Amino acid sequence: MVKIDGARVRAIREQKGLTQLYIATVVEVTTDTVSRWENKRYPTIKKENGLKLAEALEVELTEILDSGDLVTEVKNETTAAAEDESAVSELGPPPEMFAESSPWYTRPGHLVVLVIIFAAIGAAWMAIRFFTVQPSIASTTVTRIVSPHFIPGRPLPVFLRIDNPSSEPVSIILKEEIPAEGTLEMTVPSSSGNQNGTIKWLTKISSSRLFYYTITTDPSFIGSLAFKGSIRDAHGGDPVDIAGSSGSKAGLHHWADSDGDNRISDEEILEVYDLLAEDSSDTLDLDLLEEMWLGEGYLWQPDTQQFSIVQ
Amino acid sequence: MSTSKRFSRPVLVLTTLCFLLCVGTASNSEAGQAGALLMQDGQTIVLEVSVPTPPPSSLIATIKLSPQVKIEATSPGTAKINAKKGQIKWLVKNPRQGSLRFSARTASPPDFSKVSAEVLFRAPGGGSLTKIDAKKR
Repeated sequence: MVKIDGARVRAIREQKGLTQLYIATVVEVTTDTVSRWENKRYPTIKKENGLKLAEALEVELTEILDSGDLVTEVKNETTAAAEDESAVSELGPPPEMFAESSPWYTRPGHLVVLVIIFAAIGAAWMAIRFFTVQPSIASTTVTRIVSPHFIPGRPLPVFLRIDNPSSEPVSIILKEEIPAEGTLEMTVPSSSGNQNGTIKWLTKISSSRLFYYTITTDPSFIGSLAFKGSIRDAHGGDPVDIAGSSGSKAGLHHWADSDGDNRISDEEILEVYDLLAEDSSDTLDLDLLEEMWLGEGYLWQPDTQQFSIVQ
Repeated sequence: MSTSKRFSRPVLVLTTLCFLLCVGTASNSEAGQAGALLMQDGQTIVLEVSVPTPPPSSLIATIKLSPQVKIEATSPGTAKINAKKGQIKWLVKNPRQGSLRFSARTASPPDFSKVSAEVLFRAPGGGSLTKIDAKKR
């Protein structure tokens, strides 16, 4: 064993512009070991390593020995154990993984501790969630989308889009009051009940889902329809009013013609197809809508109760 | 070996990550929302569209020729041809990820400098309306 002068080793290394990584590579130890040598944490090292270290630093061995200390054959059990530890780590990952500038968390021991801590925190969080947190509809939103106008006697679809941003499915009760002036034609998906002019869906929502229904009024109807509805957690809690549009006025424009310019524009037909992307029921006469889009415009003919398409 | 190497690794890693992020983002936006317009055999206008990811529920591709240009044929066939405006539109429902190709053959060679094309779609799930002007190739 030899006792080296760590400060001298560092000074020579830095003077020659050598990195700890380079020294570690030549001596075949880790950069941690080189760092320990330089910081005098393990001043006594194997003579073989001392010679390699001197060679790496391009100096004689005596130049890096501590105060002219001589080679000693006395084996220090502590330092030997430390070097053995270094030797073991040398069999592991390549030295460059532990470069001088490597942060503490990249060192193997610390990394393991870090992983264990994160795993423990994760397990605790999961346990807390499992035992205490129930899926809630607090972050769930319902938006009603209905055209500002409709043609009396023709079906008017009323869309209710539910967005649940949570990853947990929530059980909800969705209620919608049918305006007294209207007659319910159909619901998609099928409602769980229809009592006293109120349709109700009881279901689980995992992400986004579209509900809709169509109503018609008498062809002679004049005025507006008002919509009202709510969503409630199926496990209890107060109902929350549905946001979005809440009324539609009787007129001469198709429900998809949202700006009422007597033509179905590209934007309007795309909006309808986007809204009904998940719907396979094909109950809203989209063929007619496409025909209207293909034409230059349309006109509602009250006497025949038909649309005429302008080519 | 030089002292500068001591600092080069983290800098290199960060630079590489930033570069990959930028390249990844750029390639996504380009590959996901691209439209190219070209002319073949002097009389056929071709619009190539890369369907964005995730695919929209539907999209509308439009080729705009000069007004009064006589259109002989389109592929795929479409009924939305406005001869007065020289506009051809295709409505594609449930497009799949990948590329789409639309073409229109005119009776006489069109002035390619006056030809343009665009693609219109809505981001899935009530997203915003996006219009892409095709780049001439």
